[in-house]
Amino acid sequence: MSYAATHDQHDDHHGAPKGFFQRWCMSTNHKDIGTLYLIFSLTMLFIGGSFAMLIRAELFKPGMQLMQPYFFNEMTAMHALVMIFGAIMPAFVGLGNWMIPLMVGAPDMALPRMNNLSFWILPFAFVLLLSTLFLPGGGPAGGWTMYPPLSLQSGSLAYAVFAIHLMGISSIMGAINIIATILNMRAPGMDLMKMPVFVWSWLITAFLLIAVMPALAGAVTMLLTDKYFGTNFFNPGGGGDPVLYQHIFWFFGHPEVYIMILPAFGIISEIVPTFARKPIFGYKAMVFAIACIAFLSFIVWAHHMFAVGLPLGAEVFFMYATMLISVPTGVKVFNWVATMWGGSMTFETPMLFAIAFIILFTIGGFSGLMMALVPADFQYHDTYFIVAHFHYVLVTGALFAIIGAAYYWMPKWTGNMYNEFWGKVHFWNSVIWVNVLFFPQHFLGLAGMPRRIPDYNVAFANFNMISSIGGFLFGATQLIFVGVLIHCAFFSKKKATDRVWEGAKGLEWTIPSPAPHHTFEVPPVINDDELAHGHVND
Amino acid sequence: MAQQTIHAATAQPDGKSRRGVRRTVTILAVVALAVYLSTFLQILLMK
Repeated sequence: MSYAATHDQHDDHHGAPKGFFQRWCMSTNHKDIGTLYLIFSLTMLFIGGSFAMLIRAELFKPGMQLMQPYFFNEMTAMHALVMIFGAIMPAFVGLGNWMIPLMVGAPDMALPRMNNLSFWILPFAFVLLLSTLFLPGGGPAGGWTMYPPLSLQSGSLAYAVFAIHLMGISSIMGAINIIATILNMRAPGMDLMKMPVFVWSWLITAFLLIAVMPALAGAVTMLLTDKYFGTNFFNPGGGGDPVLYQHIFWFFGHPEVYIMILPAFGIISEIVPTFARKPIFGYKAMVFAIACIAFLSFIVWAHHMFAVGLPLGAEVFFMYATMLISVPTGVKVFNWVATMWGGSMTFETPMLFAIAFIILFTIGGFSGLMMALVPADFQYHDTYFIVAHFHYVLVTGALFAIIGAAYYWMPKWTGNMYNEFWGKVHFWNSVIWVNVLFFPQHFLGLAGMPRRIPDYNVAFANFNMISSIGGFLFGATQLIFVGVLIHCAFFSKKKATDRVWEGAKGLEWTIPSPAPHHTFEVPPVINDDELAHGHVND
Repeated sequence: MAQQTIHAATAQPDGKSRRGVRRTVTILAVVALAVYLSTFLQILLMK
């Protein structure tokens, strides 16, 4: 590909704006906005993580230790809201912002000014949400699901609803931008079925976002009008029904789970071929599996509500529809393993996180399959088994993929290599302590410990103590990650090559490291041999 | 997609792609608004 040789000469004449305010607050550059998203996400990870530390500290021993029950409830609700909307989703948007234009050969996102607005809404949304902790009456304490009538008792409902509206607007604008970019800005020759799997995963995720975020906005708007404007959407006394809220919420909530995992699938599908030095096995199957999972995510929402009293026919339908998801998910897991099979594998930090993802996410998937069974779910419902399940999916799944992606693309972003030794120290500590943290929670749940309680029976004491120790050490381990990132960005002496990884393929590796401020002003020429998945028709 | 000139500072493509972006954004915005409004249709289920 001849583009790389001429690229930096062409782009050197217009770099980033010099002023701090101009560059970071007024930016329309996809790389700078991507960086802002990633820094914001890391900040939120530590804020949400500190809430988790408080929860685990309270649960370290039976009995009330450190806080009042209402504050504990605030922590569980805010931990979830901050991690889902503040840490995981913005991290994927940041990665998408950085990498999608580079991967499809576009000079920037299709709507760069809207991109700026999408990001800068977020800090205001979270300041609003977090400020409720300091207000009289406290923050939201009814869980991230905000079921009525419990959530209607909160004095800060209006703040939380407005914050969620802002987050939703940000997500919808971001999703529209990503779809418009992918459908309209691809370089000539970059057909849809030649796009990297990460780009495909984001295209499908963006459609999911547009389809379900407005449903959440509608649900919380009705909460607001029920509390402040005398409507009765969810009040049985006025002809409404609180279960209708649960249906609307989970019509958003289950696809939301896939919004948080499909881009992770895309990341793993980029990392594994690079370090196995083989094209991804079954490219088309991988793309169709993502689309299939996205479709199924719309028809499984009521599996979150088996215990609410659904008609038997509905429970059976949602049980089988949920179990069907394991088929395309299994296709993906087998294809990742098949990609590694017979490959010349090396185990740099991104690959370690990818392999941990495949194993541990699959454990989370299996426990999900268990709770898809209606009779079994009546026992698991609202226990720590559920907590263990979704943390395996979201921490060792989504978060591990994000961390792997950071190690994988960091050299391209900064032009420097990270410290491989400390990367591996970070990985091994993470993978050990995350299992110490979450695996015992399966046993606690099966033994009957309910979730969202600040105190518990002494029978649950040992596993809770083990889980808390794992939690503190997993949290502390993430400080190593921050150290590695700062060292890589500012102090590393080891310069990255353009391709960075020996087996890396795709347009993003044809540009210099660090990536110039502007790239692909002239669309690149696509060479099929350079694409990550090789020849699709092979 | 035909070869096109793109201004890097705004990423605005010329001609056909500019219309394509506008059409994509319009359709998606209408879909989002329709989903939002349709959630209120549950009022039809109220007794």
